[in-house]
Amino acid sequence: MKIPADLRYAESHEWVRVEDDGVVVGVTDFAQDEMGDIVFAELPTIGAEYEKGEGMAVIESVKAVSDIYAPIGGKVVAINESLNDSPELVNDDCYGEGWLVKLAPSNSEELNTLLSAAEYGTQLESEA
Amino acid sequence: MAARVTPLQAKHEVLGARFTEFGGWEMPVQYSGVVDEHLTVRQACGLFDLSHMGEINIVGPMALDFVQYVMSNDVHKLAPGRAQYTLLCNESGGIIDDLLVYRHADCVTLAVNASNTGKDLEWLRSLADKPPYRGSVDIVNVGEERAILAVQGPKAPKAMQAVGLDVTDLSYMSFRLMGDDGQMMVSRTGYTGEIGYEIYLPKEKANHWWDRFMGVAGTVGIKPVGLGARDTLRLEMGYTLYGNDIDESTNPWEAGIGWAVKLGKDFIGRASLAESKAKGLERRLVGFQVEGRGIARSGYSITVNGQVRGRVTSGSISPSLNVPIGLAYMDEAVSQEGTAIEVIIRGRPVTARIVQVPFMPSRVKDVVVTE
Repeated sequence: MKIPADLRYAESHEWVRVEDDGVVVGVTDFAQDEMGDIVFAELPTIGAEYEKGEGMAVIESVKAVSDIYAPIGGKVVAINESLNDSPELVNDDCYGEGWLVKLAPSNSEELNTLLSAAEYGTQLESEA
Repeated sequence: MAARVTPLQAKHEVLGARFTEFGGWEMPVQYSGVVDEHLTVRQACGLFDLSHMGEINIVGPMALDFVQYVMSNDVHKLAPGRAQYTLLCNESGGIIDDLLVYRHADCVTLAVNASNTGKDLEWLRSLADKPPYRGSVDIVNVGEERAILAVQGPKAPKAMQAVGLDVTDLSYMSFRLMGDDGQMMVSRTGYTGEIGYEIYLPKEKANHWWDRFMGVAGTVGIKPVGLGARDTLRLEMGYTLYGNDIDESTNPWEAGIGWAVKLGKDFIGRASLAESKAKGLERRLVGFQVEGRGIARSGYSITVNGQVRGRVTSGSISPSLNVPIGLAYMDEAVSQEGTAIEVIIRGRPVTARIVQVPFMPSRVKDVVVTE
């Protein structure tokens, strides 16, 4: 299970990458593997605002519907439109081409509440 | 209560299966992935462990009369060596279970839904305990000692040949007892819409036969398939799933399985079923395809012109067609093929249309061509 060291993680299995113009959010390798074949992604509209922990997207596999929660509060500044036609990118490259949403954080301090790669790895072990 | 496991549990674990609880059993839901497994069955051959399903023998001098009295279909029209889809109904016509009856010379074997096995046994035993059947009919739960494999897909006949089971002459819904002691019942039946076989066998033999199929997997093109793909395969055929599309509150005509009810004979539930047939349908189980963006799931409401007129009972993406499909009960007045409907997905109406089922052609009756 890949857990890149340079990302931060939410307990609900989203990852966050801090970039100059916002934070990119996706789902972790563990999450995409658990869901199985992803066949549909419903992403938020640009400009929508979410609080930390609020459902902001939905990903569906053949069998299941999964809510994706905002790992930190913020405003949506970009969405991965490739997922409309190719939702399987989330399976194929969850930390790259399969990203979901880019947020402009409402409070950057919230980044400090996220888990490090090591801490997220420990959480996965305790869930296993 | 801890979930039960089949005799093949260790094989599934080695194959890296993911498990789910179904009908009180811990069952493999997927191995390589639902879409891959689904397409394997459509294009090559899938091997399923269905040992969770119930297997019940009805024996005794009045066995056939008893079956005729408790089931909706006409078992007297069934020749030995043939199987029949039938319904077990209660007095008010509610569907207790849907099942296959396998007719032997003077007794029958039933293949029943895993989640209903206990309920079926209780019901059948209560009926067999009354005159005139008392003492002349025995309900034997053989499922505990048996396993079930299914081999499904265009390459299923080749797979059977490759493991030494010569069944290419079996026509759809026929079966034969095989093995040294005749303890293996092999039928040309299935729940996928493909040419396929189901193998009912003693549980001690399950690993041997699983290994034989997996031993020719590379040359024939066989992959293990879990319950995830089993569900999408049956959905593409419009086959009902007990607990989703049918239950004790549905009647066979609205569910599209009225052809398995023969009102010309006497059986339990007949009076109620005749009455509901005479009354006409209030709702109908239909197939639909989602045209907008979204996947319909069981329980979602369906509207027509803004009014709620139906409810989804099964829904997923069709891996073969790559579009969202489903089954739904619709008010009779708005159940015609071609009707534009909206599925309410997370509060928003998404356009869909009632379409013909099966969603793609069934190949169950295709003639087996041997190489």
